[in-house]
Amino acid sequence: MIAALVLGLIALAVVIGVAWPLVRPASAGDQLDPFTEGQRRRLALREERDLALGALKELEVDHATHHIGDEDYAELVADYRARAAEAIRKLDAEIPPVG
Amino acid sequence: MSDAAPATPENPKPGIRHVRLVIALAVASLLGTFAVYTAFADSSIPVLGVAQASTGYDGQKVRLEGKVTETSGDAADPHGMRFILQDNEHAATMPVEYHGAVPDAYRVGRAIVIDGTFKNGVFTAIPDTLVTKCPSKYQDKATTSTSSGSS
Amino acid sequence: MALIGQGALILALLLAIYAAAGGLFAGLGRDRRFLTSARNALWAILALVVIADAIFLYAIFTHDFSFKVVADTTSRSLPAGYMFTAWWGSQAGSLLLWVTILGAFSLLALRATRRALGELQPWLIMVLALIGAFFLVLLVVPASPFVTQLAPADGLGLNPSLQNPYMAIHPPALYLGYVGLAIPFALAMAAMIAGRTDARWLVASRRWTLASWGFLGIGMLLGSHWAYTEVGWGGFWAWDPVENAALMPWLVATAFLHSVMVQERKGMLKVWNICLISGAFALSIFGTFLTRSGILSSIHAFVSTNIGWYFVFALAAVLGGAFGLILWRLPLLKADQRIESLVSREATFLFNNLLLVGLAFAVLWGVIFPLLTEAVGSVRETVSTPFYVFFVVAFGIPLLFLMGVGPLIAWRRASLKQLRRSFLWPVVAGLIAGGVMIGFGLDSSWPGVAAGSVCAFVTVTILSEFVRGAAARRSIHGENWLVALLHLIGRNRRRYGGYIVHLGVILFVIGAIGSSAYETRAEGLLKPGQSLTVGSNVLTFSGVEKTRGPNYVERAAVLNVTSDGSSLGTLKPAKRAYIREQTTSNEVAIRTTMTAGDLFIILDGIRGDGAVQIKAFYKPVVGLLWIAGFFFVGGVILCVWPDEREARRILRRYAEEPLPGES
Repeated sequence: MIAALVLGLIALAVVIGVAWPLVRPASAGDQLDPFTEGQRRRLALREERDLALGALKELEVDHATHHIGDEDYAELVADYRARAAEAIRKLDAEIPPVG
Repeated sequence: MSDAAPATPENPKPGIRHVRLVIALAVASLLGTFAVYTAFADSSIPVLGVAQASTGYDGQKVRLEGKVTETSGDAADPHGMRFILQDNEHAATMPVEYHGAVPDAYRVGRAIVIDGTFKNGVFTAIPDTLVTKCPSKYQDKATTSTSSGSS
Repeated sequence: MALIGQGALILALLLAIYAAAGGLFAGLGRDRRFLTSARNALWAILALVVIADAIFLYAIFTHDFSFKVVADTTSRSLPAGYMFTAWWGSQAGSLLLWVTILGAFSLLALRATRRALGELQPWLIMVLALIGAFFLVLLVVPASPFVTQLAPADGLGLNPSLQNPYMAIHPPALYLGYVGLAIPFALAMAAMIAGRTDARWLVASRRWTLASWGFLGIGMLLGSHWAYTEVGWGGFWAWDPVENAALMPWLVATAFLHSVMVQERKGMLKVWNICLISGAFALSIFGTFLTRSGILSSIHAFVSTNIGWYFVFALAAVLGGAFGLILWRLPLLKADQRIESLVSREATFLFNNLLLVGLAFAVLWGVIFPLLTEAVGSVRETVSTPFYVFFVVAFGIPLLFLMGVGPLIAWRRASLKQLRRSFLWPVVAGLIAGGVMIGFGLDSSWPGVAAGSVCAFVTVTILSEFVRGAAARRSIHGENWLVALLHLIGRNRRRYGGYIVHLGVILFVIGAIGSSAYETRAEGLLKPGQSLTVGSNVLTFSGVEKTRGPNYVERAAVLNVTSDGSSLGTLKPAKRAYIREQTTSNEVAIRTTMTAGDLFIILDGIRGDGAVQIKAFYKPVVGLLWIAGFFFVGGVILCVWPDEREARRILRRYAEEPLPGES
């Protein structure tokens, strides 16, 4: 009997806690913003840029620790610089510079 | 890389085709190792109930499962331990001769697993292969675990 | 009390179903109110499960034997310290622990990803709630901890093998690992549903995977140490299904931790990484299931077990769900770049992945072999240690070799000229080690010699990495060696933490090989005054000693150990008879030498006439196994430790783009 009562009280508390966000008055921020195609594209470009910048940093360390020869280093650095520049250029084209 | 243009999936450079080939070969050699070993190495042994073991497995190394119904002698003794194993489902029984270590949980009534060969009505066990199945007291009744000495 | 417990679990189950639906509504309808409501439901589930835990523990501690599970796994004479152990001494109790950890981890994961992965939240809640619902169904229907009965006067007691300090830490460590893998899996699924297949989810899941993997590793090591010192058959790993259960997800997670680095750098292997994390989680469910049921003993056991089909359903849902989502999102999962050269670190990682997954598959094959053969033919067949050892050697030695090759090869591309320079000293070290081993007559085991020389090769590689890195810092920043080394590690925690884990693996391999391939053993029946020789040690038996413990009686064989005429003291291997539990347990005697070798003695039997059957081993360098554990833990902690610089870099990337979600 007491057990049933305790259970009932717990259930009541739980239902109130869970239902409250649904029954409280609606507010402006209730709608979650969508993830847009443009955001996906820009995010991919930023990722590409950061990947290339990260690679450049890592190449520098690998070169300093003699994991990479001078020739490979020069080629790869040129390659990744180009990639980073390309990504940054595309990003700039996406977002018109502010003011 | 002399040209800066990245290779596309549709038009891989020769070097990249080379990479693909080596990876494919690596996968193939792994699978090959696996297939050859499972096919040719005699790595598995049949697991039999007492009723099955007395038919057609004479002289072959098998793993026997059953329940201990009576036990005598001492496995630490030169004469070894002798016990009777009963099939888990049928009434069939089989005498077993055993030497070596006896697990902590061994006793009459316990389900055990043991390796050896069956010959002339007696199962001669390989020393130190006696393993008890987990006692049901701390398992679900319906599930007897295959836990061996290690767990 | 039992009623409240059962009621709380039922309520938690209903809430889990609601939370999954709430997550779905919030995600589809982009409605924040459902999101908040579903998150509150997760909090409520945790609260309810904690209530159930409290009731269950209360019943254990107050010896309430009207709880069937309590009566089956405890007794009045059980020492208080092991009452907690009884929590996971039963199937129901361990599932309860699973759900508790899952509840806590879910909320932690939601909080940690609230900002960065805002729009994943609804889907994360949905996936985690579905996983929770599955385990709650098990707890409510087939494996309830709250089944009551007419209370017997005393319980059946806890299995003596669980009455051990290790059993107080080993199972929870494994559970933390098993459950932890649910989080990266849920993140991967949520990322695919939300279409956020950028690297963010990977970054968020990396630390969870690392920690879970660390816990699984620690759990296995503790289990091995327990098996070695307490179970006492003379080894530390028996390839038992229960042990393999933890090994499989660990191997797959190891593969994931490596291939993640490739995706982070090159944006490739996206599908592969999702497959790995799904596989690791599926294997962790499989492992949970193996540990607590004897399903694999035969098809009959499987069909007759009440819990078997639930797990088959769960596995199918996990794998099917992951597969379906990957197919759906395939266009988003295209690789950004490809492998540029076979001589690159990413290529070695690729081969490392193949070998790790291959090894995990071989273990899985061995575990399910009895089921497969029974399903195909009439006779069930089983594989044992030689099968596993073959694959560990065949796949493990190349894997070990790659561990040494990887650090020497730069990411992206390396030239052969560079490699010749890098490889010279490590290869020389490997050859010298092999030569020395053969010179000392250790060529009795060729895998031993091969592994030994590869270990030397890898060790020199790793040490040279530390030296080279510190040297570079010294010349660039003008720091002294110590400062350079500390900065080097501090600035590249994941890399050098990884190397430290690798050193641990090397120690483990040496310990494992030394203690198995090069052990010496002797056994014999000893009357008082007689002796047995093992290696350079002579054991002289002087008599049997009887003592009483709190709930057992112990009989020990007293052995005086001498080596080259000098006394090394007394060792007392024993047998303990637990009174209430009506079982005996072996208490092995171990003496560790200065060189980490162990003299390991088992008392196999005591005869009526006072003679004892003794089995003795000398296991060289076995102590390295446990020292390896410290390297492993230290390395993992170093890797898991938050890296502010990386966090800042990632935050900057996402701060540039105001993404939808919570703030």
